[in-house]
Amino acid sequence: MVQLALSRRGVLYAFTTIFVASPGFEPPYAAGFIDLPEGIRVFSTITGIDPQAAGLREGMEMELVTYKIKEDAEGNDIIGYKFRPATS
Amino acid sequence: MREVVVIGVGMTKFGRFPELSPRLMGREAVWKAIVDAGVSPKDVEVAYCGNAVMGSITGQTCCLGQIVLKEVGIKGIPITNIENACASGSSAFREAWIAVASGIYDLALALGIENLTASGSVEKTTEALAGASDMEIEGRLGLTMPSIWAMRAKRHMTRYGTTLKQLAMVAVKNLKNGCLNPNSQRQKRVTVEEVLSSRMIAEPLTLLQCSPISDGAAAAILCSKQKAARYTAKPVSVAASVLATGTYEHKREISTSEIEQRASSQAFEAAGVGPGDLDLAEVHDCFSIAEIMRIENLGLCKPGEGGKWVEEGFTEIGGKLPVNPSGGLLSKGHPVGATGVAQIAELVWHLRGVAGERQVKGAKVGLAHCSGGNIAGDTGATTVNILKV
Repeated sequence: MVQLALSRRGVLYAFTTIFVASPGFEPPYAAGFIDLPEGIRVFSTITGIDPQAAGLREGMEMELVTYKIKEDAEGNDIIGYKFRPATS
Repeated sequence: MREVVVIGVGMTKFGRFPELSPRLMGREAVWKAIVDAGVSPKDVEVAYCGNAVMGSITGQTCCLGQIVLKEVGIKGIPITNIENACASGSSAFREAWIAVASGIYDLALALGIENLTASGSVEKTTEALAGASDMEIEGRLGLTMPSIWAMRAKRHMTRYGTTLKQLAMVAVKNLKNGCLNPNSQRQKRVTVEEVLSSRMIAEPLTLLQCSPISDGAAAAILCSKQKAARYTAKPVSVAASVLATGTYEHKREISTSEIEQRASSQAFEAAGVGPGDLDLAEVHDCFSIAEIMRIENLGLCKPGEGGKWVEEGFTEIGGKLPVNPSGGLLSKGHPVGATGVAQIAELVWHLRGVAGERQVKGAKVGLAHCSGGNIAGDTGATTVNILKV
């Protein structure tokens, strides 16, 4: 087993816009699978686009950002990762 | 391994019953199966209870089988509670089959039960069902079960040109069949337009393309073939009962399922039949696209042809290979743990010739498929059961 720092950029494999979600999430939001060059596929919500504007395509370059996912029951921010269309 | 037959089945009406105690719902299904089998509760030697998320919904995290079965006087025997997401009930059925096929027991009960509406909200039920995904890396980050299926649908459309109309036609067919099924939650025919314009859940899957949130229970009683003659003149033989899990590789194509292909091959081989020998199939249509993908994955039609098959009417009750004559999950609803056992009940009714207006004429061989969970883009567990008379 090797510990590896994964790339922060990948390619969008599949995506959708979610309208009904678990408590604490605020639909509609976009989400998808991003393929990283190391051979790993990652699920992530997608930020940086209007989730209802049909701006995503399979094969798009995506980049990792850290982001507030939601708040927990005590109101603390839960920070995780999201991907957005690559800006450069 | 000796031959095992199903001698009794029973199910409740599926629907929204948030205030109905699960023990009463389970009792109804079990008692119907006991009466259908002509056995006494004391004859049951071993029992398996399939349930997926009752712990999240009602807090009943443990011993659900024991609580339900004591209501019908089934106590003291080995009772095991089984969870395999949407394949919980069918996995319970398989354990019951193994118990009798092995020769350790002569008479076994499989119960499937679920209550999803008692959570009080769609969001809480969505969260409970997201528990069938990998919570650490998907569920807690915003994946929902409809969303993974939405992505599968879009990949299928990209690869094969499957259309929104074909997706909708699965729902149209199954809701039409459901109108012939008194146990079905949905009892209304719909058009393609109504399906596509219903509320969006995860793009492109609309409400009528999603199996409804539902409560229900179903039970089956299995017996050794030798012993069955004292109970029934119409035993239904379990020709194959397969459970498979995934290889979980990254970067595989999500519009197909390696697990389902493997499980169905194993089942056909064990049963000594092929897809062409089937008279009917109950296939896990949790979403419209799921039925299209699964008739491909199970080898009932070629990859990419699933959409065309529904469009051409091949899977209608009078068609080449009736799929989901019960109305499927899209019409009946999907009380997760109950679904697999309800599929068995449906096959048994057709194979006995008592399925009423839904009857597939001359049915002799049927297949029931369930898949549960989402791990690395494929299912968590897949069951394929083949029944024959």
